Amino acid sequence: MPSNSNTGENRRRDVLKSAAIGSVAFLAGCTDSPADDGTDVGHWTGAQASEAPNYNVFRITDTTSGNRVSRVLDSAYVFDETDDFVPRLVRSYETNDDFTEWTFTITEHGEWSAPYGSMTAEDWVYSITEIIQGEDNWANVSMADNWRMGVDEVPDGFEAAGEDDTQAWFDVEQTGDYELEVRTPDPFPGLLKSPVLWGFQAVVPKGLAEPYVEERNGEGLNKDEEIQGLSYTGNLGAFTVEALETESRMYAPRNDDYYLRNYEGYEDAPNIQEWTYQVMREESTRLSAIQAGDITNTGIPARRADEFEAMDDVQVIPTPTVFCNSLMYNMRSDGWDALETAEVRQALTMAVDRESIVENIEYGYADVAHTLQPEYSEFYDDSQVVEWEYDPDSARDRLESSLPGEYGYADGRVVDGDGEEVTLNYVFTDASKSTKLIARYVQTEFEDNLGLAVTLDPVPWNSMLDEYFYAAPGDAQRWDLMGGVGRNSYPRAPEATESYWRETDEPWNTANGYGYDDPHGIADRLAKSARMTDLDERQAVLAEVFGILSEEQPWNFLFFGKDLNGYRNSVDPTEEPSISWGYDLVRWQLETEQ
Amino acid sequence: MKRYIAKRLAWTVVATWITVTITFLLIDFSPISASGATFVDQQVQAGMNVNEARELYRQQLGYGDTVWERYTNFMIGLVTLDWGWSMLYNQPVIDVITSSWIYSFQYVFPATVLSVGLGFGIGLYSATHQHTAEDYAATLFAFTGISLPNFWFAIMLILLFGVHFDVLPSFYTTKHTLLSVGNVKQLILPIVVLGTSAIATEMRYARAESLEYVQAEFVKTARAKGLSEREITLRHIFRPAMVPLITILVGDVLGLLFAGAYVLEVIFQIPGLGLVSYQAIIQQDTPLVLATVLIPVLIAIVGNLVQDVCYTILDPRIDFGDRE
Repeated sequence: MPSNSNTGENRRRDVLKSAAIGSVAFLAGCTDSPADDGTDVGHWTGAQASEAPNYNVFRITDTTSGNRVSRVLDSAYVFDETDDFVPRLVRSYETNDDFTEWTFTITEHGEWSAPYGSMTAEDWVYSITEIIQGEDNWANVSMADNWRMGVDEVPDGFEAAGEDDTQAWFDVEQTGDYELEVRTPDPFPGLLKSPVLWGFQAVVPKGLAEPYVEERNGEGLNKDEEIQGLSYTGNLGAFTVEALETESRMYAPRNDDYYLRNYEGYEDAPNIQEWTYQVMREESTRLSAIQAGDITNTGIPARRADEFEAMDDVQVIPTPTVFCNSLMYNMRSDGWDALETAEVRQALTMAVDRESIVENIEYGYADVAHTLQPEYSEFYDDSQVVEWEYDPDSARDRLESSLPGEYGYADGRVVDGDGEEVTLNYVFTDASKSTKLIARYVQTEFEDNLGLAVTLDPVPWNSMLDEYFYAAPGDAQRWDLMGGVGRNSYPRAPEATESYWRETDEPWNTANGYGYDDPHGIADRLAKSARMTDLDERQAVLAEVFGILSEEQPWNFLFFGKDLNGYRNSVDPTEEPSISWGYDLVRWQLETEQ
Repeated sequence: MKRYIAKRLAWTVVATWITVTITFLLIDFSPISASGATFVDQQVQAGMNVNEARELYRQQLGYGDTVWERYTNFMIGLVTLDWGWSMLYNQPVIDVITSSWIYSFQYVFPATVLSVGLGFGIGLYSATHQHTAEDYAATLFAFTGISLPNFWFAIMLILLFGVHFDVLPSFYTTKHTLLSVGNVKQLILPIVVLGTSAIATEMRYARAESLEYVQAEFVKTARAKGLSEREITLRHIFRPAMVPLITILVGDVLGLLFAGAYVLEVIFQIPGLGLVSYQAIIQQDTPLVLATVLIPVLIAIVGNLVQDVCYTILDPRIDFGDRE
């Protein structure tokens, strides 16, 4: 039964209970718990740099919580290293010719924990329609926007999402015990690969959610012990939670009833016997622990990759990311007005040696970016993308010839109409050493190659977003260049980047907080391509969009970074490095270390 | 004495209220946290308006009320032992506190006992054997112990004993039961780090205070009367030196708990009060910050009260006005 234990009486009871548990634990036996001697084969310990802040699947937005939930509750489906559909809870899908009706079939072998019984399409439809699409977002769901679409007018059979008629909810219905249909108001060919059902975990038993839905009690649902304890997940994940200890660990032994074992190729899944996520906030502690063999894997910082690669017991596997680390130009009324000219932005991009940044600051673990798509994306077209080479002389010539009327050069320095030297303010997040080094490097490049003065303004991440990017001119701190921003390129469904380019009257209230005026209608093109039923045509439009972006340079797309994953040698992955890395973890092997 | 204690306890309530109120206001008026900013940024990238995203974040944190309402609710909760909900861990605050204190206690307590026992002992020995090789060795140890930064010392010990010799675990895990061998092994390094600086500090204080009495007239008299050196040391040097040392002790224990613990718990990943409190402050988890602030405040105030009571027992010259 759902329960909300946040009452004064329960709190007092909890104090007594916890004190009693503390005392009993202190006086408990003098032997370690089973499988705790550190030598057991098949026990995976992964280090996480932060505690999972929430297990409420309707509110999770962070990777730490998402990874933990993934161990005990599979997502709808995943993609493999070649971007092919890999079934999980959703076993198959069908769509109609115009991509407006999608039918998903879920597994017949899924069981919630008692007393909720079998997982059916009814649970899915209830979670989506009553919680995610709930009126006024009563449950404070984080990514509810994924389940709606911008429309010219709300078509018949669809519900408006919001007060005006510019958005409509997807229509989700149960069409069988294990089948549900998602209808979209407009064609949506990219639905499968966009963050709607891909990676979807936001489903709970109807019986658990029902009381909260009826009362519109979002806080009650969030605080429910079964929700926060992940105890409802039954056989839907490869492991079962046995311990969730604050600021310490999640311990989950293998789930012998794992539904996936009913399918060919997964009869023995998972191959790992026990899984622990251990919170380890300090990087040096994590690195010491993997070196000592106390944990199975952790991230390795690029600056120490060579050192760990040279170790016999550790393997380092780089995997590409989808995030583009960029330098943004402020094109709003409070930025340097010359930045509104594309040729000026091109000159700035040409003045920075991105290869050198990749080699010397990112230690080679990154790829130079030319547009907001990585080169491995099917929407990246060499023939469309302009690759601005590092060329200081041409950069300076281009800047000199492109500066708006009042600006010019005097004694090799960029000056304004009054002869005063132009100085740009470069704001960047102070949390990352790499970002600081890039800022200093860019400053030097602009000074030396363009005669353009730059002041550096390191600030905390939250201040940079709140006081600079998402603040209106007049209220905002002054900035011209912004560093340390990594934006998702969504290489599987790039239309999701539409909000980055959309011109509005108040860009600082949107993801286009840097004020790009979108002269080529990129946002509209993306909105249009999202509805294209001819996939070749869609691909052509997207390739063109990313060509335009490479020429426009609304940002200096610096590089796509790589994640460095450190594993003990006992780990034997079954997959090739890709942006899907880890999709097949349930079949990875963990062998005895030699 | 009773009146004095009653007055002091009343003052405890007032001081605690002032501290908690100031902390509440500081957190409430702080800018959005880094994780909050990231959340808003994610929502905006998905197409939401900034103001709507900020509102959603506040709603998820349960920030729907005015400052005054939040403050009143919190104070009522504090008194009724309903300390609220930790948004950072999605648990009742009281659960977070009750599950974390034991992890701090199990290494702070032995480190404190060690530092008091060894620190006072070595300090006393050093004072009574001034300018000997042992005194110089103890002084060298003390200066080294005080000078070593805890975070550096901790990392070095992990590298040495956790990685190089591989005889101790490199981090703390809750998978061991509290009185198990595994738990004892993983507590050794935190106790050593915390204990080293604490022993050094206590030793220097004990030596300095004891030196005041080593050459005192009453000590010479006692020696002339033929008392044993042990009796002289304990009764005529250590006992009067205890009065100022008691004062230092309360401050030191608090220092150990809430300065050393913050660093040590992050490095060794001990899920104790220090780590939880640190994270609560960073992530602006108001109910949890207030609860974790409340504990050291209470310890400080009650500790000072105990210290003053100890004075009267150790030094009869101290008068509280109502002593008969």
